[in-house]
Amino acid sequence: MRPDLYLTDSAHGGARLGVPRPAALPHELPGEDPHEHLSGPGRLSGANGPLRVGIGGPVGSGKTALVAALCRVLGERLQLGVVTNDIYTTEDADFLRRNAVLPDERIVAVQTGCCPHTAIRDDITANLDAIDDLVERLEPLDLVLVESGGDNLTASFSKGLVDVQIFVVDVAGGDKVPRKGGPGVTTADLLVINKTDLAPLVGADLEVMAGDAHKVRGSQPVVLQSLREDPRASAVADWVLAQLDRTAAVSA
Amino acid sequence: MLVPGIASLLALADQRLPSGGHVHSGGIEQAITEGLVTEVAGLERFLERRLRTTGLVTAGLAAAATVLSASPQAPAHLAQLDAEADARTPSPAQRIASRAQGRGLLRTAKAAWAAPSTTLSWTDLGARPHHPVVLGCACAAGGVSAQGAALAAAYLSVSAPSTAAQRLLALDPVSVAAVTVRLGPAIEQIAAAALLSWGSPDSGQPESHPGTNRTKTAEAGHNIPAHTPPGPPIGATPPQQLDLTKADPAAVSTGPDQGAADVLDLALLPDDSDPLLDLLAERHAAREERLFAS
Repeated sequence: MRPDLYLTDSAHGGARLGVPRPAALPHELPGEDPHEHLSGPGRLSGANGPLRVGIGGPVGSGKTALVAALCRVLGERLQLGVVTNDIYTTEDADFLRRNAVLPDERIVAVQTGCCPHTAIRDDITANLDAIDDLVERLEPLDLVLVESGGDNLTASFSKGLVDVQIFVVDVAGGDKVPRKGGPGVTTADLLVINKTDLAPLVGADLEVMAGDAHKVRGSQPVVLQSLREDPRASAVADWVLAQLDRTAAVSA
Repeated sequence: MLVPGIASLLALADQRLPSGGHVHSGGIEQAITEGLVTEVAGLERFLERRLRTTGLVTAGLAAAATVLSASPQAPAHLAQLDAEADARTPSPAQRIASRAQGRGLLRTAKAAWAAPSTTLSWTDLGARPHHPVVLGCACAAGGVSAQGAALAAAYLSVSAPSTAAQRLLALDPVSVAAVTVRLGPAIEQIAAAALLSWGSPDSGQPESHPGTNRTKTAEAGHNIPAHTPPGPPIGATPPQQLDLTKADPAAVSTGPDQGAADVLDLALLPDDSDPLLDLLAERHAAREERLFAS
């Protein structure tokens, strides 16, 4: 396994994580009403509020562990809030609180009405309210992570809810997952193939997974990671920081 | 136009309207947990019971909000109406649920309409107004009559728990849709009864005593409670009539039959409640593990 496969930004394997700049970005100009463009990632909060990053993916793919890692790494330098969308319990929120990655008041759990997918894509009200509450209580916030309840490959976040989204799949789910695609795999701004340390144990071919992912995602970035080997989720944390820089550049 | 504002009304009554209804079950999650509702027949009884109480009360509040939106003193009148909604919602959990959904609908309404009327802005309603209050104001904004607002509120009191039950019990969606349709005449009766309670000209029927009107409705065979409440609910504003004679009918964007009431006595608005629904809401709110916010 070549180390550069862990960080690739094209089907032909660049070693650096690339953050593609879409042709047109939502932006604000002085004296002009904020407006959105249809291409590129979703709404960019910019100066109007924290960057909102959605984290979705199937059950057990490692979303909460990734959120915890991001909180530990980014919480040191950023004002951070987290919204969790648990299916039945407040387990994910409790995990984050128990592991003390963030103070309790920075983590909010919302109910998802027996359908986590709808709560992040169709009727996003409960999540918007939770973000508004966090912003009201903790202003100024730099970053809000919105973790979806574990769902399937068709799950994706509404652009009305998040600025950019990360989709997390894991090696143990089978190396066919990237090839199968679905809106999460194909359209997320970042695809994370998680738990690469398990690949030899489950007979998954990481090169096939990365290759298939790039085939269905074009130039959008893919990260292969193992939180056991890199508990700081360095590549994803760097990507999130790059999104923050991009937002700052756009709203400047 | 066949019915003024009908397209707005259809949008506001649509279950898919992104205003937060998705995560509220109207008490059915707790009813299912406690084994009170297990299949479609039980769901129908639950919905009928909720329609007669929650549906009647919210229909009255929504219709009043539509009328009051046109008043020259609309901000003050709607603040009073919001307090009346509190007084008619004894369960704190239900108050929170109603205000959460009001907040969500307000976000959608703000995006859809600049203002409810020329005398009222969305911010006048505060950050978390009761859902039927926002619904009535959104109806005013969309040119829907007070009758339409009452219908939407009564319909939503049934449709929200029915779709939640469908998800929770994996019920046959065709059967659930048939239940909603079967309740259609009762929904219309409840909406009419809510309007008649304070003699709204929108009810399309001559003004008469609210108690007797409810009796008439019940006689129509829809099991609508016929009792006359002993007085306004505790916490409600003292009986008083809001003078709407200075109301400018042109204050509301469209809808010629709005703002026509001369006086509106808020104490006459329906105040029925169901102890079972109140208890279910409180027990639900005390749970740690649940799929719905209410």
